[in-house]
Amino acid sequence: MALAVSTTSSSSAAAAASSSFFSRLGSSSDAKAPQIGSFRFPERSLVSSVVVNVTQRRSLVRPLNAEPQRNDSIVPLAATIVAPEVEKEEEDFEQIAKDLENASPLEIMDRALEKFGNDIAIAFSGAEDVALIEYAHLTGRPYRVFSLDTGRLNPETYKFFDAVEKHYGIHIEYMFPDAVEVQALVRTKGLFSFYEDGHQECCRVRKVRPLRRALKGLKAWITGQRKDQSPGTRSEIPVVQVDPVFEGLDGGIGSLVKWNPVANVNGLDIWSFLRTMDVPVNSLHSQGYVSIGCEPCTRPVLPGQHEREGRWWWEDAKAKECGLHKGNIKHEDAAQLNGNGASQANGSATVADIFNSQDVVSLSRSGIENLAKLENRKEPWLVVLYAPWCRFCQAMEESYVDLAEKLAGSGVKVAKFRADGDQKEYAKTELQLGSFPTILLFPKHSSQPIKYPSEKRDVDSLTAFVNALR
Amino acid sequence: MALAFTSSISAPTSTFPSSEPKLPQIGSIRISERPIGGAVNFNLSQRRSLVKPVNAEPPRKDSIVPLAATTIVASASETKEEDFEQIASDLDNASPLEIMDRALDKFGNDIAIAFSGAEDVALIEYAKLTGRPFRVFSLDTGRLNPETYQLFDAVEKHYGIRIEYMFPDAVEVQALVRSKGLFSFYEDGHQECCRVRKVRPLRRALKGLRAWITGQRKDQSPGTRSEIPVVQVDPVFEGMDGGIGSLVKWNPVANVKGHDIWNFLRTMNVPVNSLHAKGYVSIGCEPCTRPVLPGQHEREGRWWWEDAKAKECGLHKGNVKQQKEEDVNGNGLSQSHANGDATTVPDIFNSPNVVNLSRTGIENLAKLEDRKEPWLVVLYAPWCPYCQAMEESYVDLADKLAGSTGMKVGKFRADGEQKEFAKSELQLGSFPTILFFPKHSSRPTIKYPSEKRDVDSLMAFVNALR
Repeated sequence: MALAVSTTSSSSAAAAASSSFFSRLGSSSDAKAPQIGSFRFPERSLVSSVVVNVTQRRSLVRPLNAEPQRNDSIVPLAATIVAPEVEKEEEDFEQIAKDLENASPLEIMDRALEKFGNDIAIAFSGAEDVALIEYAHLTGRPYRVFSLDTGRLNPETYKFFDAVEKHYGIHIEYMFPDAVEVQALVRTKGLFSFYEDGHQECCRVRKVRPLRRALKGLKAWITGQRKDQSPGTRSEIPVVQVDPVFEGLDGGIGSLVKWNPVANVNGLDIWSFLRTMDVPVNSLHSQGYVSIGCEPCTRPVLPGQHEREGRWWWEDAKAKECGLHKGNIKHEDAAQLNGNGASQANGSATVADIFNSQDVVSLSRSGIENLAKLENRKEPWLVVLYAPWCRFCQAMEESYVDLAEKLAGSGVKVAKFRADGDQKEYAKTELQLGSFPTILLFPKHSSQPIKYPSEKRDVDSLTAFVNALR
Repeated sequence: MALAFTSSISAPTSTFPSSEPKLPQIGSIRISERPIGGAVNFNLSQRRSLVKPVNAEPPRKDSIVPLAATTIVASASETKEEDFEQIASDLDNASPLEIMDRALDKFGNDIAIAFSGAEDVALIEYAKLTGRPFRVFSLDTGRLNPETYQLFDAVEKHYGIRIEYMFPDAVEVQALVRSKGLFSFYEDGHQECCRVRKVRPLRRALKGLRAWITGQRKDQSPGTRSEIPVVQVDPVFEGMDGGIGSLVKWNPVANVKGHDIWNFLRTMNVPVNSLHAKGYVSIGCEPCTRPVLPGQHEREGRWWWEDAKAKECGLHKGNVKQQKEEDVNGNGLSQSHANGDATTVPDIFNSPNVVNLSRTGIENLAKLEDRKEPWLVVLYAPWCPYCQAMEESYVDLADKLAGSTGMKVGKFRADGEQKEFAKSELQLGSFPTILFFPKHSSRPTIKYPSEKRDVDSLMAFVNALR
C-alpha cells in the first residue's frame, strides 16, 4: 500500500546573519571619530514633561503627502481637539505607561498598533532595532516602517534594508535629505567636516530635518530606545509618552506620541530574541561593529566582550532537520506502516517513543484540536510535533525534557504530539508542520500558534523563545 | 643651513579602465529628446557629468568678461556652432593642456570640470597646470563608495579647491526607493535610478554654466569614435542662457588613450581613487561597481602599488653639509664653474645633447617671454648619489629628444654658491630638481613632481606638457 506524500518544505525565509551584542551609548567609542549619539533638543518643553534624549539614528517617518502602504479599519483619532484636552491626552498616556510598565515588548507593540493603526510607524535605523519589526510582525497587525537614508550609510546597511523588506514582505518608507541643504553644507565645509567641527551640523541636515518631515505625517512613532543605552537618563524613558520634541500630523504640542517598547529590555536580551526568531541582522555586526550609523562615523570596536555575540553567532553551525520531501521519510514511513498497521498506541511502534517525561503532556489528536481552537487558554502551551524515528527529534529529546522540567509549575505547559503516519496530513494543514521536529507556542490569548523558526534546539534557545512570547 | 622641504602627496595605484560584463555598468546613455540640426546625437558618459546650479555662488572670481547674454537665435546658433567647429578643427592635434587652456581662457568663470571620482582627475591636473583659476563639480548620488568620498576630499586638499557637489532631489529619490526598493537597478536596469540620481542633478548644474569639460575619450566608446570632438556645442543639455546652443562641451582628452592618462597621473603624482588598487577599473555608484577578474587590465594597479619610491637628497639632510664642506675645501675661493674643473668629483650629464647652462644662461632662460622651444633643465650636484643614479636616464632622454622634437635639454649645477639663487628663483628643494620651461611663458615653469626618473617617466612628463 503506497501513500502519496506531498512536499511542503518549510525553511527560514532569510538566512540569519551574525550579530553582536552592544549597548549604543554605553559602548566604548573610537576616540578618533565622533560617534553619533543622542543629544537633547531644548527648544520645546512640555508642562510636567521632562525632555528626553532622542536617538537620531532611529528616527524616520513618512512625509505628509506620501501614500500609506497599508490600510486598516481603525478609526483615526479626532483631528481637532481643544487645548485643555491636551492635558487630558497627556495624562492618559502617563496612565497607559504605568499600566504597561511591566508588559512585554510584544504587548506594548500590540497596544501601539491597535491604538494608532495606520497613523503610526516604526523608526528603523538598520541596527538591532530590527527587533521592533519582528515584534510588529508577531502581533499579526499591519504596520509601517520608515528609515533615514542619509546618503552616507555603509553599503552593508543598504543591503540589510533590502533583506528586511524581502523577509517581511514590506516596503520601507525611506527619507532622504534635502538636496539644497546637503549641497550648501558640503560645498562650504567639504564631505568630512564632522571630523573637524563635530557632527551636529551634518546630523541636522542628513537626519534631524528629514526626521521632522517624516513625523509630520504621523500621529505616533515607535523607537528602539533603551534605558541601558543611556544610563544617565535611565528613569526618563517611559514605554509610551507624548513626544516632548517633535510634532506630528495635527501640529503643535502634544500632536505626536512616542512608543519605546524595548525601553526596559537589555541589549543582551534583544540579541537573544533576534537569534531565537531568526531575524535578519546587519552583516556589519559580524565585522565587529557594535554601533551602526553613517559610514564615516562608524568603526569596528577593539576585541572585547562587546564582540562576543558576533563571534558566537558567526561560528555557530546550523542544525539540520528532517524535511517531508526527503527520500528517507518515504522509507521510514513504509516501515512504519508495515510495522504498525493502524495502531497509534504508545509503545507499540517499531521505534520506541521519545519525550517521555511526567512534565511533557502527550496530546491526542482531539487534545491538540481542542488546544488549537481555544480563544483563551489557562496558560500558554509549547508543543513539539515529532516522529520518534526522526533522528533530529531524537537529538533534541534531552533538551526538550530538560526544558519541560524547568518550566514545570511556571505557568507554561509543555507537550508533544506525534505527527507522523495518519496524523501527518492534519498536522500539515492545521499546525504548520513542514518538517520534523516542528515546535509551536500557543499563546495564552490568541488562536494563532507561533512556530519556532530556529534550528537551535538547546535548552537556552528554547527558553528564550518561550520567555519572549509568553 | 637648514631648508624646509615640502613633499607632495603621493598617489595610490592606478588601473587601465575596462568594463566587466557581469553586472550592468553605468555607461553611456543616448538622450534623444532634443535633436540639433547639423549635430549628431552621441553617447554621453553620465558618470562624468556634474555642474553647479544657477543659484550657487562660485568659490572663485576672475576678470574675464562673460559672453554677451543675449543674441539673436538664428545668428547665435549658426555662428556659435560654426565657430566651435572651426576651433575643434584647429585644436584636433593640440595637447590636452592646450585645449584646457583654451577652454578656461574663453569661458573663465562660466565653465566647470565634471569630475566623477575616477581617472578623470587628470582634467583637474591639466587645469592646474594652465595656471588659470578653474571650477570643478561632482555628482554625489548618495550611493558612492566610501573610497570615492575620500578621494573627493583628498583632491580638494591637494589642489586647494572646493568641489561644487550636486545631490539628488529628496522627493524624487524617495519616490523611487519607496516603490521599487534600494536595488531596483539589478532587476529592471539602471536607467530610472541614473535619471533620478545623476541626469537630473546634472541638468540642474549645467543650467548654471555656459560650458563644461568632460573626461570623455574616444577609446571608451569605439562605436562612436569619430563623434567626440575636442569641443562642440552640446547637443543634449542646455546652459545658463537656455535653449539650443547655450552650452559648449569640451573634451580635452578625447584623443588620449587610457594608458597615457594613467602614465600622466603617475608622472604628476596625482591623487587617485584607492579603488583602483583593489581591482576596480570603472568607478561609479557602489552597487554598480565591482572589481574585475585578474588580467592585464589590473596590471597598472599592481605595478603602481608595488613600485618602491626613490629617494632624493634633501638640503636639510646631514650628509649635504658634509659634502658642501668637502666641496668648499676642494675649491677654495674659486669662482670657476667650468666643466671638468672641479677636483673632488667629476661632472655628470656630459653629452653633446645636454646643454650646460651658466648662471647667466639660466637667468635669461627664466626671463624669456617667448622661447624658440621648450626646455627641460636638471638642477644637480655632481656629488649627489641620486643625481648620479639618474645620469644615464637623463642622457638617454636628451639623445632621444635631440633634433627632431624641437625640445632642448639642459643642466645647471646648483650646489655651492649657486644654491641660494636656485632655491629662491628656481624652486630648488632638493637634488635633483627637474624643471620644464614651456614655450610660452604665460604658463609657469613646472617642477617634475615624481621621484621616478627613468626614461619613460621623464618622457611622459615632457610629452604631457610641451
